[in-house]
Amino acid sequence: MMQVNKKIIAIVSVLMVAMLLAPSLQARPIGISNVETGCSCHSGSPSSDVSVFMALGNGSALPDTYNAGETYSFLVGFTGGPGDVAAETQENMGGFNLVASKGTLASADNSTQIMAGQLTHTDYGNDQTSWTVEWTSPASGASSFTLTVNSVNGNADGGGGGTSGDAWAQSTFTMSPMGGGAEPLEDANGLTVLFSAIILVMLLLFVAIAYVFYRTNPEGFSWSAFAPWLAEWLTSTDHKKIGTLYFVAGLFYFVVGGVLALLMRTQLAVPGNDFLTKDEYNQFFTLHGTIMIFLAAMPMINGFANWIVPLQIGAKDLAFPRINAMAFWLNPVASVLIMSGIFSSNAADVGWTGYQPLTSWVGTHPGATMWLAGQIMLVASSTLAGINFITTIAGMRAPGMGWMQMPLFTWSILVSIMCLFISIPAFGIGLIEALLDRTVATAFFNVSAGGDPVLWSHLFWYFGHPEVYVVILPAFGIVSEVLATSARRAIFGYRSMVYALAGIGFVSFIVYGHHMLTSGMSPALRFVMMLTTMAVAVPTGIKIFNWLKTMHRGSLVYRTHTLWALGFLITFTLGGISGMFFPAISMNTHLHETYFVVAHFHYVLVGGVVFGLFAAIYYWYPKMTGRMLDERLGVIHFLIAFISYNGIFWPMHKLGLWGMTRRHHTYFLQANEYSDVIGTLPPEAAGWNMFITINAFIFGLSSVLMIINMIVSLIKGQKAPADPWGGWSFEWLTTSPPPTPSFDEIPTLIDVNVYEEKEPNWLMRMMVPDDQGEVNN
Amino acid sequence: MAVGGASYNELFEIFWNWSIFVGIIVFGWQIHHSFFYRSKDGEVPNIDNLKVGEFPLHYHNGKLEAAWIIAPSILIIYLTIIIIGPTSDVWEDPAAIGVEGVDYFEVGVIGHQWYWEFDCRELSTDLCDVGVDTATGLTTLILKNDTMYRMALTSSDVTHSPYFVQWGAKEDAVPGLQTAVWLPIDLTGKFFIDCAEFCGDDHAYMTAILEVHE
Repeated sequence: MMQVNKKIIAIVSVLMVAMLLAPSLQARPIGISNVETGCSCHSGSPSSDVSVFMALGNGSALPDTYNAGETYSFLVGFTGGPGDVAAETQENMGGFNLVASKGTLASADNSTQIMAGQLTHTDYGNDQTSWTVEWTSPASGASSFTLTVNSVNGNADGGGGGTSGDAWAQSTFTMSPMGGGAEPLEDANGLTVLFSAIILVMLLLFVAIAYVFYRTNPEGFSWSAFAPWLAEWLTSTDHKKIGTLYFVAGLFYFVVGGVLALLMRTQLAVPGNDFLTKDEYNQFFTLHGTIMIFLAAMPMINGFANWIVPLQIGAKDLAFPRINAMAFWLNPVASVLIMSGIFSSNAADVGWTGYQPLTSWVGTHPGATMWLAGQIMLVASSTLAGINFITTIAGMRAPGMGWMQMPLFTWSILVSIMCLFISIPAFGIGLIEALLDRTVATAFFNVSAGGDPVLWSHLFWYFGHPEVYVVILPAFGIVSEVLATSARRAIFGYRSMVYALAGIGFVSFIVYGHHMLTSGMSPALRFVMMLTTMAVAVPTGIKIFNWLKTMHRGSLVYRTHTLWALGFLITFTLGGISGMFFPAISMNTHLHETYFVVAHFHYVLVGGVVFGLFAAIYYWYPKMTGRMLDERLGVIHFLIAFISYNGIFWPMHKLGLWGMTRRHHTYFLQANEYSDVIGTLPPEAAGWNMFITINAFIFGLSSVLMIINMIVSLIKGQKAPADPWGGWSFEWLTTSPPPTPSFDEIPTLIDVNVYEEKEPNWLMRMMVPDDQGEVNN
Repeated sequence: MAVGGASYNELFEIFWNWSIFVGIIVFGWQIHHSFFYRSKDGEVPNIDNLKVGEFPLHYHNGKLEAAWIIAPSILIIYLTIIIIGPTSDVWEDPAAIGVEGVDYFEVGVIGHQWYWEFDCRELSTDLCDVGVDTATGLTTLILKNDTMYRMALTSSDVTHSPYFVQWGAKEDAVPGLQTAVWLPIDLTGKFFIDCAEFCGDDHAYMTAILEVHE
């Protein structure tokens, strides 16, 4: 025992001695520190014989500006003084000390070292007159470099003697961030802007709600009256109230997603901008995508579906009002999870597609875990909402309304829910797998453990492609309603419209691979997806031509919603046409992941979904609130938004063709050191990016007009009649706003068509299950 | 085997022309109808006698609807046929599709967070070399003009995608997978390579230079 203890004591003693010695071994006094009053080891006044230089590592002159977050290589040193004489011996020629006010200095080789936060030479570097160092630039702010050099006459022994004749000099250099002159912007941290914007939006929302409450009943403006009013909203199962909640939540996140987009556009306005750090930029585009699809577009569509579907089919409420409320209240919780981390700069930074193995990579932010969890919750929410709509549409149609007498908006909701139901389980599974990978170290997507990253792409896009149809189909429904009513006509080819909706829904499942044409999946599969993708154009074409034919011999009444529907036709057609370029694999290899893609999907998602939703707002707002919107403000909103919208996304096509890649927080112009590098962006790309950013701000501000219009009209808008536009479907039968339950008496649909009695063939029996003879009255 | 170059430009031109053709028809039609069939002087006629609670008269024309199913289908089939050919350019071994006398050299490209590593295999320095570009400080892959290269891609961490902008060629470099992209070098000069698949913080700085010499 004792021997063992002795051994342990001996080992510990040796270790302790070693530990005491180690610092002294490392800290041999080589180098210069503390240079405020000159050189610590060679005191006296600076010498004019010695001239200090600081240049880029390749010898070119030190530039005035730097790119944020980039690592630069510098050459620092001196000429003149006794160091030159000592050059013959190649020993003890000089030393230096470099202090940077911002950024991080680092040693590039064994001739330099960091001492007390300052960069200086080592024993080895004492034999040189110039040194290579590295500096990583900060996110913002001008950095000044204080360089002190000591020219040594060769006999310095480093121990304090032999300093006679040595001379030192000091000089200061400055580098400003790229796009300098914009000093005030440095303090505008992207996260702060976002944080302030969100708080401002919430505050405005609160003020608006309070004001609406006050105007409704000025006497009852007290907490005792407010609490039951609030409780009514929080616990309501009425489809109209939940619809409004969905809509307000969607609009709120539409603003948040828009602010994120504006911040990104500010960053991209000039090349090499440092408004956002790359880290912030990555989080912002991830959240922009997720928010706009899942927290803005989907809730707004659900809001309209909640409001309008029961009204259109003549039902008093949805089939499962409590499930409906639950489906909504999962949303705010999920949205908090998805956004979590943003205020500590730790939100998901993996792109809305969450490609693996990046999402499972340990270097991504912890917010990505919450982001996955939030999306799983949204999967649950969408499923619950979908069950509700399918049951309602299948079982609660008013008497006389067969499948083939349903209004097209209801049809579009039904088809989109069907798409969602077939696709969303794949997404749910993928999300759960990804969440398990991140939290309990399973290996679904971990390559080194036999996982497959391409599996995620399959699961995601099997859902992701139908998902964009899930959001665009209701917009088709809205435009069908708006255009027919505005043209004062019945929709042309009602049945082919329904079949085209179903056709688009079906095709959406066999084309998803076009998102993965460069992903490394099997060439055979890519080839098949290329062929099927081309087929999407046919059913979409039917719809566009039918809309145009509906206008034929009509009498188009120009209202704001008419303008939005006509605008939709233009932008959606442009988006559809640019979509035709992608299935061709030899073009796809160039266009994939460039701004051409960004332009395309914003043309279909903003020009399609958002324009459709705007049309729906102007069309159904009188029905939902009982107040008319201001038409003049609406037209101004449309004109500004339509022009600036095209100003944002049309130039992006060109940028994409030039090869500007998406999800980059900066871009390289064919200028300066890149002037002879072909394939970088031509210099005019900077101008176009600035143009896009300016238009983005105009587009963003124009949406404020609509929100102001909605709030002002709610208070002092003209009272709306039951059928302000002259539509035929049941929502125009009930009062504006409708009572609760929505119909006093269930109406009966009359079909003015005279159906010829004919023996239905087997195909018609399958496709039109309702008895047509019965409706023929 | 030109991925970007010739086949891209040719296809793009065909698609562009047809886009303009379709655009003129659709937008011409729409603009004409928007103005010609607008309601005059604020009147709100009810052409199809729409009435709340009444499903309106079916209003269709079988021949017309068949026409705009068939006409776009013909265009789509035509476009599909012309894009099938160049597809083989993207993947196939030149020898396998019967192109005689095309010899190619394989160069490895390995994606790392966040830089490109080029592996010249056993090739001579004339055919393939790796250096550093003095002006930009970027890694440079030096290849020979008028030579066919097959870039064999993989990644050491997350998915990347080298984008040879001038040749319009990119393909994901996936960890654990071997993918490839053909690079028919036909120009001399310095060309930009960047990363097209989001790979984390320094995604935008994941650049390299392809230098082609005679």
